[in-house]
Amino acid sequence: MVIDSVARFVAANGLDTLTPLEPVALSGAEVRDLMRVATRHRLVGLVAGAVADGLLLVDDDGFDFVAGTHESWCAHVLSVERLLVEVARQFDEDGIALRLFKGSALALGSYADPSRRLFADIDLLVASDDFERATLLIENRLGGKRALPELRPGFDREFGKENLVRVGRIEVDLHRTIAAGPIGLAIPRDELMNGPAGSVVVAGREVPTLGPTAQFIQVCVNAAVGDYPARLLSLRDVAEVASALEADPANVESVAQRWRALAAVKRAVELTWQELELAPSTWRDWAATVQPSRVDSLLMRSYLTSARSYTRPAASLLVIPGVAGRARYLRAIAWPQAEYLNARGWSQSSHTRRAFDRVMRRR
Amino acid sequence: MTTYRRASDAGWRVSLRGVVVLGPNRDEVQLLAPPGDAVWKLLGTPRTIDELVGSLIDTFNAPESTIRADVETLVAELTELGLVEPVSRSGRAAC
Repeated sequence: MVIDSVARFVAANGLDTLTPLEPVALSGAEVRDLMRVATRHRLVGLVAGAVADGLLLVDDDGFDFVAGTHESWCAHVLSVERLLVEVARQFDEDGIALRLFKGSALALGSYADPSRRLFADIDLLVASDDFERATLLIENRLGGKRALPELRPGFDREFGKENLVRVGRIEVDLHRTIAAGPIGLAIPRDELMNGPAGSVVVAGREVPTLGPTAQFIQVCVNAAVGDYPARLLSLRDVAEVASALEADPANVESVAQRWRALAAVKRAVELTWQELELAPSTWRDWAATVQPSRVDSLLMRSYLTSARSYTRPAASLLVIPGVAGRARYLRAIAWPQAEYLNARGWSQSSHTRRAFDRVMRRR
Repeated sequence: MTTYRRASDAGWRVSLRGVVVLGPNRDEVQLLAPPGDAVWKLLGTPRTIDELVGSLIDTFNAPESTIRADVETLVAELTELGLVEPVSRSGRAAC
């Protein structure tokens, strides 16, 4: 049995597929193989769901293995949500606006059964002006530790996607934008923070989320360029948010175009419908005909090379306004501060050599 | 007659073997196996012990006295853990 196709089958369970899914029987060894693949693709919740739905037929040991793994993840998710509630409360007290996205926002806002959409950390969008204050608040009041210093002082506030702050074993990702690299830099941050918002209730507390269109674009960008190759859970997110969103491709197209994310949204929808073998829909038809600009396609392709750590920053220069801004960005990428290099165990020369090797290997 | 409901600040997820619950002031999760998971789901709406027993009697093939004893014990334990709270009929937490 090809476990990768079982994983795709699990990821599509409950969606409108081209052909109905038939139950699959798994041996004990196959259950363990599937759970390894499921962990890589973040599908443990959907595997448990497929067992509950009778689509994966497993023996008692297999059942206990899936149930035990799923329950451990659920315990982690609940700890993450408890920390999220505390962070949201503290931000609220200090007047720091936030938008929750990914993990809890999708599990509680888009999935019919939140136990099928597991996650490991907290993703919060905050305004650039609040970025450093929000990071310090988590460090000072919740005992957080920043994962990496900035590339150069001021870099995160101007260009960075996120600050990773670890509180115990949970990571709080504070974002200024919803993607690293050129697409994230091109998206107008004030539209993300000041545009329409949604909300979810997390352990009794209402937490603001991205609005529906921004959330759809975010899951699409994540599926298209967040990981290469795309994780199956990211594709499932696209299908879930698309089905929850009123079918309004014209509105999504206009916003995604303005945000330079149209190529990524098109790729995400096409990948989702193709990999999960979903039945035709308004979204699939729309993606087949939409035409992103050449520059937007170039921005997206910069994420999909083996040297993406370097092609992405290079493409970012296309969207950073002004010569001075580009110069500051280039300087930070080429000559990071010593604290950053030390934290990664690099020297300036090894950093430069590494960049050169990666880019040349690509060719 | 006392009415109970889930503590609003308790987080929970459905698992294959019941419901996994985490309260706001405890580090350990509770796994509520059947019939505890059914009680937990019913307590999304404030209910008395009689109402809980009445809802469970059709699902679980056991004498009413057994179900009542199990429900009373479970609700008492969950209340002790802060996962369930007694409420007035208006829905406010009782002092």
